[in-house]
Amino acid sequence: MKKTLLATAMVAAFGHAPVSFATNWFQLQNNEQPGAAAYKFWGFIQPTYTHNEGGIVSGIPATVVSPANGANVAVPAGLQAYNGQTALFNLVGPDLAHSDQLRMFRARPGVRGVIPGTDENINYFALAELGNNGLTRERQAVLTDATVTFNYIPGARIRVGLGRLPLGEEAMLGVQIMDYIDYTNVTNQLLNERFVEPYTNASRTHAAVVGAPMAMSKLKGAFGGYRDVGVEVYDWFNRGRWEYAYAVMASQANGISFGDDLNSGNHDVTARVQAAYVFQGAGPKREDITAYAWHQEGKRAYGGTDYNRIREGIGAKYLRHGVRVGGEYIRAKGMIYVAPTPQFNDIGAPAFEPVDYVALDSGNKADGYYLDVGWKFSPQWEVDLRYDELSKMTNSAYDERKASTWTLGGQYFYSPKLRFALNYEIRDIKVVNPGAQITNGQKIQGTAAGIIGGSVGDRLSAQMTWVF
Amino acid sequence: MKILRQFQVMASAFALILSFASSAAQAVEAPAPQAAAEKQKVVFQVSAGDPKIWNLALNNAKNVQQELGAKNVDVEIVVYGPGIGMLKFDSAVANRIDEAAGDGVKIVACENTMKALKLTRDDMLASVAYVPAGVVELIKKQKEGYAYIRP
Repeated sequence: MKKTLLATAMVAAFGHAPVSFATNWFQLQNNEQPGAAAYKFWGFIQPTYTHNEGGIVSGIPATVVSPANGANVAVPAGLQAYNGQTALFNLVGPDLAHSDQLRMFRARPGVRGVIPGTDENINYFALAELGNNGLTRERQAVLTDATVTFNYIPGARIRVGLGRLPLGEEAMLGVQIMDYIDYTNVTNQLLNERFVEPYTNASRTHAAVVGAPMAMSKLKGAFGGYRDVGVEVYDWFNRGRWEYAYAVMASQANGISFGDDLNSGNHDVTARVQAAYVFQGAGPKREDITAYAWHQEGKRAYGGTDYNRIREGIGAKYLRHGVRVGGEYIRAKGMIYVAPTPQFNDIGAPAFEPVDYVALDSGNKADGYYLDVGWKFSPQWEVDLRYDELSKMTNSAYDERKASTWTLGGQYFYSPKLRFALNYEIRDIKVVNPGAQITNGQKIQGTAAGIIGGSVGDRLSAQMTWVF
Repeated sequence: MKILRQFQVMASAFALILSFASSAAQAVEAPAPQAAAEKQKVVFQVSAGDPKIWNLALNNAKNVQQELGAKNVDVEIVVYGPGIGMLKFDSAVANRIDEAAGDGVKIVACENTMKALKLTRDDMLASVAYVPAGVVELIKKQKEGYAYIRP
């Protein structure tokens, strides 16, 4: 009897003790630890140096051989003018002015906490971006996160506001602990949405691009940043060492912009499910094996018409005893951001300023994947290796392009809050099906595309991350 | 044969002398035997559920080992009550627990607490040891001369 009473008393006494804080991204980014303060200021900065080794374009010929009759066909002077120029992918974004640059890539101050008087049932999270990247391409400072989470309904926590979409793993992880300096092409170009509107500069008349129909467009607003304004319902469930989690988010499809005018009232629905077997630990570096799948669907308003936009993926990751193995496959339909065309800054007539080409219809497809391994062989040192591949316009043999990258990485952990990373990327861009160039126009543009793509160079990046 | 026996006796005597000489030299050069016997001992109590306290206890243990030398000190961390989450498989300091155990820190979980919370050894970190009662372990260790610290 005494033992029973003792046990009961102990259980009662521990009723307010913190539960263990096993973490998934939903929990880490949307919830606070038990006993959290009303506010906690935090943030991080990531000064980054990038050096592109890509050379200038050379070898765009004066003529090509016609696939139709074997005759020589003249290449327009506008295309030949790019001999001697540096392609945009060999410049450092978002400025696209230098091939090497030191910049404050990210600077994100934030505050998070629980709202007093709510018995820790309501918490909030706010983060700003002051760095130099796609989020701040129009304004020096933007909010990237501003959410309030309500934890009242068992099995259905509700987060409201501007926050992360439940997308792929790379898109969800916090960049302050990201093992590489840059995202993979597949995540960055298919999920980090570029919002576009029709190109309307009548003073520059661009040559028609042959192949599948694409819309000449211009970027508008900030990049999506894997975020949106909306309502997310999510939760996670622990069964011993197994953890199951889900999230469904209905959102405005405007990225980090709070206004709903960019997309004419269209909305996205994004959902993700995941299952994890936890070996040990908690937090972003929890040792576990996780499998996940996600799907996003919505429409984009463009020139008075709505177009379907679908993104989906599946992946898994493993981390144990310092060894990390992961991979993800992602595919996209509709609203495929193909590339700036031409791939150069405006050099004046007869060349043209770059226009953002977008394949609007849902018949247009892209897909890609990445594989990643890492080994933290001491408390201070880690080596990383990643391969990623992105194929765009896989529905059109002539238009298909493939970008692949090997990334060799190393990290030095000076302290839990200070880290240095070095990446060397071996990059390649290919015109996948030269045999599909069956008209003179395709031969001319396809040949130039192959030569320009071939000028892509390796990239060296160094970054410091200081979390405060 | 006689000469050989005499040589053996002399060799033994010489070896004995060398032995004494060696012992005398050791007695002069080595630390006092009493000092060697006085190995430092410290026990930490962790009974709070706050991960900040867990980290503090682990920092303390590490600092003690660094200051005195890991071979010169026995360090034990006794975890019970609301602190038991420190030693669960999903502990926020799981890797630090492994690291401390690897460095020779003995980390013990209170089985009374585990029973009350319906935790089994499968729910705990692999590098953890167990005692029937955390409080009793603290009493025992203090009787054995351990310094008691509660971070």
